[in-house]
Amino acid sequence: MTHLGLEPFLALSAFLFACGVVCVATKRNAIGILMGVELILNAANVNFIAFARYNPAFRLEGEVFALMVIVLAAAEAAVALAIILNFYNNHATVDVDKADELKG
Amino acid sequence: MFDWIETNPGRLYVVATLLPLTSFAVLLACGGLRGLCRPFRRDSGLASSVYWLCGGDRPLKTGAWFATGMMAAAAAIAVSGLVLFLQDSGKPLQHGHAGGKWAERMDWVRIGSANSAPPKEWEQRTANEPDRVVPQTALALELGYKIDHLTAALFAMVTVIGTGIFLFSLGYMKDETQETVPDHEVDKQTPPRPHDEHHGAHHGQSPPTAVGGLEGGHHDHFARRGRYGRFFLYLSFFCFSMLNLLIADNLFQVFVSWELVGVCSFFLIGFYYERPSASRAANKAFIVNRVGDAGFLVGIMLAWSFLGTLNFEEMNQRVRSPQKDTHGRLDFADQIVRVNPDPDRFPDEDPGFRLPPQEQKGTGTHVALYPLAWEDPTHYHGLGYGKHQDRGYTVPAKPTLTDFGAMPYWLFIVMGIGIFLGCVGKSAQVPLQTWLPDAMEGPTPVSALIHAATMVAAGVYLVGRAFPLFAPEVLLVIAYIGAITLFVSATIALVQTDIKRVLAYSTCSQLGYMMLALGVGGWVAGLMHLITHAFFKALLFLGSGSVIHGCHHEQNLRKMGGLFSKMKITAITMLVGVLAICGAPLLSGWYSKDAIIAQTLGFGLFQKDFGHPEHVILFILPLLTAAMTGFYMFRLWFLAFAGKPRDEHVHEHAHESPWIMTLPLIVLAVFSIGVAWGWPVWNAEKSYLGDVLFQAEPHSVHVDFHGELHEAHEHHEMAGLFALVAAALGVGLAAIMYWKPKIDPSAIRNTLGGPYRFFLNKWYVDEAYDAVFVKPTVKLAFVAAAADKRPTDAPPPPGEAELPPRKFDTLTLDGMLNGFGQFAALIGGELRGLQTGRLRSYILALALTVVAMLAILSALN
Repeated sequence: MTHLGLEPFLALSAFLFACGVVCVATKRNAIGILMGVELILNAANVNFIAFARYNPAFRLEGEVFALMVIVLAAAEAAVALAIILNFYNNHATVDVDKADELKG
Repeated sequence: MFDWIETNPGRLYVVATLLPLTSFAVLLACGGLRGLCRPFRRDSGLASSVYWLCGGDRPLKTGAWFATGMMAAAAAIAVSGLVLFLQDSGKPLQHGHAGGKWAERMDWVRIGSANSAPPKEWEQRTANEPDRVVPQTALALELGYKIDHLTAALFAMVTVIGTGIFLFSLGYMKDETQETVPDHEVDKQTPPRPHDEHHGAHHGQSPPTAVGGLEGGHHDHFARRGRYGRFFLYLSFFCFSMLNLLIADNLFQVFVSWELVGVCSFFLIGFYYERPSASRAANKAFIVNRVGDAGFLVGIMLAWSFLGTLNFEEMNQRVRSPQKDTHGRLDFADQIVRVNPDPDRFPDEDPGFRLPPQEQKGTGTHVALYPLAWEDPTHYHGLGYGKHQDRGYTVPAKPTLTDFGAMPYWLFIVMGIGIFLGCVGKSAQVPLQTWLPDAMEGPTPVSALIHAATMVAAGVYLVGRAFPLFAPEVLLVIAYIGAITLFVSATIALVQTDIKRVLAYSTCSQLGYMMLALGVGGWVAGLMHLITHAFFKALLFLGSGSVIHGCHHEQNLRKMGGLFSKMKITAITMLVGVLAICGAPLLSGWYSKDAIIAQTLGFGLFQKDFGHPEHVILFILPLLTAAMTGFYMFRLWFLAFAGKPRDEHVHEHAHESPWIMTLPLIVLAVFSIGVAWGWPVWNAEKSYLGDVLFQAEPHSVHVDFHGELHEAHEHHEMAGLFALVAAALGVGLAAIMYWKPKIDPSAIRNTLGGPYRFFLNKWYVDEAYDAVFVKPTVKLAFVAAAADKRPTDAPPPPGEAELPPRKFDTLTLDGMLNGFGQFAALIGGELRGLQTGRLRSYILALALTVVAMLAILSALN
C-alpha cells in the first residue's frame, strides 16, 4: 500500500466541508440541511483521523475524538429530527424559510 | 492566659480595652435578635423563645448591669496595670522606656509585599555605595499599642470615671426601663398639629407617636419605648473607642478610634432623637467635627507621604534629630533641623544636600528627616536609608538627600496645623467650639462622660502625643487658639442660666487652658489639668445631673435656689468640684492650674527678654479667666443651692438622689480633692501625678522650651498667688451678688446691657456661621432643587400650571442620559434588519466570516 501523506485527506475533508456548507446554505428543506450538517461533521471526522494517523503522538486522541463526533452526530440528528417533526406538526411544512417567527 | 499576659503586661490594657467592646457586642446581639424576633413573637415557638430570652418587652436591664460590671472590671485592670507599670518603669523622674514589654505592633493592612523590589533609581546607587541597606518599599497600616506614663494615667482616669458614670446612669436613666416613656420635650418642641379626626386610628404622617408598634391611645402626648439597653450599648462602645484611642501607637489607629468616638457622641447627643433640638444638636456636633477631621486627614496624609510611617515614635524619630551621633554633626538632639537642599548654593556637596551649620538651623526651607533605626529588617516602614548595625544606626559619612530625606518646611507646618485642626474640632476650641454647648441636649451622664471627661480630652491628648511633630509656629497657634477659647467661653459662661450650659462653656474654657499650656511648652501642666479637670468636671456634671433629676428635669438656675437643705450630698460634693475648678489650694485643680499659669508667665517673661513682649497677653488672658471661672462657678452653686427658693413648686418636689447616683459623686469628689497630691501637699509644684506625667514628656519639650520652663519654675509661686487672688476676687463678687445680695445682678444687667446681650448670644458666632456657611448652602440646595423640580417630562400634576420647558436640563444631564438611551435604540433599530430569520443567510454570514478571518490570519503570517 502506497503512502498517501496528509494532503489528500485534508483536501477530501475540505471538499466535504465545502459541500456541507453549500448544502446547508442553499437547501430550504430542513432534512436537506440536516444532511449538510452531517457532511460537515464527517469532514471534521476525516480531519481527525488523518491527523491521528499522520502524527502518532495524537493517535489515541484523534480516534477517540472521531468516535465522539460520531456519537454527537447521532444525538444531534435525533434532536434535530425531533425539532423538525414538531415544526412539521405545527406548520405542515419543513421549509426553513417559513421558520422566521423569531426574527427581529 | 497568665503566661500570655506575663510576657507582655501591656496586654492587660488590650484586655481592658476589649471588655467594653464585649458588652457592646453582647448588648447589640441581644437587641438585634430581639428586634428580629419581635414581629414573629406570637407565631413561632423559636422566635418567641429567643425574644423572651433576649429580654422580652421591657428594655434590657440585666444588660445594663452587665455593661457596668464590664466597665468596673476594666477599671480594676487599668488601676492594677497602672501600678504594675509604675513599678516596672523604675524610679520616678527618670527618663527612659519601660521596654518592649509594654508595646506591641502588628500589620493590619499591608500595601505591597514585605519584600517588594527596591525602586529603580536605587539600583544605580547601590553600585558604588555597598554599605547601604536596600530599602524595603512595603508600607503597612498597623495595629498596635504602646503604654507609657501618659497612656497609663489617662487609661485609669477614663475607666474610673467611666465606671462612676455607668453607675450613675443606672439610676439617672431609670425612666428608660419602662415600656413606654412619655417625652414632654417633644410635645413642647413640635408645633401643635391640626387634630385629624377623620383618619381615625391613624395619626397621619406628623411626628412619630411611638417606636415600633406601640399603638397607644395618646393623641396628645408623645410616648416611646424605653431605651435603657441602647443607652448602655452606646456608652460601652464609646468607652471602647476611647480606650483604643489611648493605647494606640500610631496616628491611623487614633484616627479610626477618633471617628468611632465621634459617631458614638452623635448617637448619644441624639439619644432623644424625637426632640428636634436633640437631633439638630447631634447633627451639628457631627458636622462641625467633620470640618476638623478634614484637617486631621490632611495632616495624616502629609505624615504618611513624607515620613513614611504613622507610628508616633517613628514619626518623632524622623522629624527630630537623633540623640547620638557618631560624626558629631547632629548634636542638637531632639530639635527640628532645617536645611537648604539647594544645589546651586552648595555645589560641592553630594547631590546638593547640606546639613546646616548651627546658625543656619532656623532658616532652612526644608526639615531634615532622619532615618529610622529598625530592629527587624523585614519590617521596614520608613523611606530613609541606612546601614543597620547592632541595633544602632550609622550615619553615612557624607550625608545626601537620599540618606536623609527632607520635607518642605511649609508642608511641615501644614501637617501640624492639620493635626491640630482635628484637635480643635474634638476639643471644641475656637472656631469650632459651637457644637459643645449644643451637645448638652444629650442625657446628663453623657455630658459628663463625653463632654467633660473623655471625648473632648482626646484632642488635648493628641496634641500632647503628637507634640514633637509641631513646629514652633504651630505651637504658637495652639497657644493663641487656647487663650482665645478660654477667654471667650468664660465670658459666655458668666451669663448662662441653664445649669448644664454653664458647665459646657466652662468645659470649653478649661480645654482652652490645656491647649494654651501645651502651646507654651507646659506639656506636663496641660495634661495634668486634663486629668484633674476630667475628675472635677465629671463630678460637676453628675452633680448637675443629680440636681436635674431631683428637680424633675428642671435645668433653669433661676428656678432653683435653697436646695442645700434638700440635697446635702449633692450640694457638698458639687462644692468640692466648684472649689477644685476655681483652683482652691490643696484641691486637685490648684496644682494643675497653677502650673499652667506659671508656664504662661514663664513664656511671657522669656519671650519678653528675647523680643516678643506681646506674648504677655498669653498670661493676662488666663489670669482674667481665672477670676471669671471663680465667678461663674460660684454663681452656679449659689443660684442652685444657697439663698431662698425662687420657685416654690420646684423646691417642694426636690429630693436627694438615690445612693446609686450619690455614690459616684462621693467617689469623684474624693478624686477631685486628692488626685494630684504629692509630698508635701502644700507645695503646688510637688504633685505625684505631675511626676508621673513628666516621665512621659517628649524630650523635645525641654529642648524647645528650655528657657520658658526655667522661668516658669522660678516664678511658680508668684503666678500661683496671682491666680489665687484673681479667683478669690471672682468668688467674692459672686458671693456679694448671689449669696448675700449687696449688688443686684439685674441692675448690672441693665447698665451693661450691650456686653450682656453679646455674651448671652455667645458672641453671635452661631449667627455668623449661619449667615456665612449655612444659609448660602441651603440657598444653593434650593436653587439646585428648583432646577430639578420635575425630574421627568411628565405632565404637571393636576392643579399646577404647565412649567416652561427646561432648556438647561435638556441640554446637560437629562439630555446626556436620554442621548445614551436614544443612541442605543437607534443602533438597535438599524441592526434589526439584519436578523432576517432566514437560516441560510446566517450560515452564509458565518461561512464568509470564517473565510475572512482565515484570510486575515494568513495575511498576517
